[in-house]
Amino acid sequence: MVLDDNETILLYVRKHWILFVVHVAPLFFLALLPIIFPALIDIFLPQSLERFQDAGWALYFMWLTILWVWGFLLWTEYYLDVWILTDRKIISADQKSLFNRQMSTLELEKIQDISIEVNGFIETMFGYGTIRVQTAGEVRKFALEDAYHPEEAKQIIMGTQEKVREDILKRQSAYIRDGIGY
Amino acid sequence: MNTYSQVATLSNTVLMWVFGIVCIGVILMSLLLWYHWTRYNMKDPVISFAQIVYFLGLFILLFITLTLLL
Repeated sequence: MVLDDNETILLYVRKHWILFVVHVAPLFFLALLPIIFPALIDIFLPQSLERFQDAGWALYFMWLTILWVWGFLLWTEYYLDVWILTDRKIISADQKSLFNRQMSTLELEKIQDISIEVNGFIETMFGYGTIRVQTAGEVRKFALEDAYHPEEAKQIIMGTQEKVREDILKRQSAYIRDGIGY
Repeated sequence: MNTYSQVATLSNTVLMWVFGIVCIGVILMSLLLWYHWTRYNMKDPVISFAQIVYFLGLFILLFITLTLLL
């Protein structure tokens, strides 16, 4: 964890939940498949599956167990892919897969510009888009694609950045006023 | 041992082997998930809740499977 002492988390920005639903929906189909398939066999070859019933159900529950684990793997990949806004910085945790994770941090006072992009009908309807943060003096851009409520996230980040800048100005003023360093 | 009981024994043995392999895979994947949830939880209570749901669901599914096998 890259949080400093006394650092407070203000906001988690994640991808829209609809993207997780799209990834996890095939698992529901796969869960129903072993029921649909024998049902079809039963229609064309009645009573042919009767003696395999107990073994069949045991195998089916093993299959459900595998899908259960698979579902939580997908959820973990979705949930750990996050931007964390603290009172000092933005932490970007880019969880591409379970074995591929990139973490980077960005000090709030270094932010120069925040832009959001909402492209197309689906992104507009579901209210998600890309947030991009440009830092001063660096070509590198921070970006979170498919972020949920990007406009609100932008407002909160900008508000926090403003507070950080005010704090820095106050500290500099106090430093000059108290004559430290002269 | 007649043919039917031989088939039944073989079937149970194969099923127990399959169940054992599934269990090993599930344990390994659970350890991997648990590592991610504890290492990157970022003070998030949702992950703690997900852990409870995951292990409870897993216990129920494995319990039903074992009941059907025995």
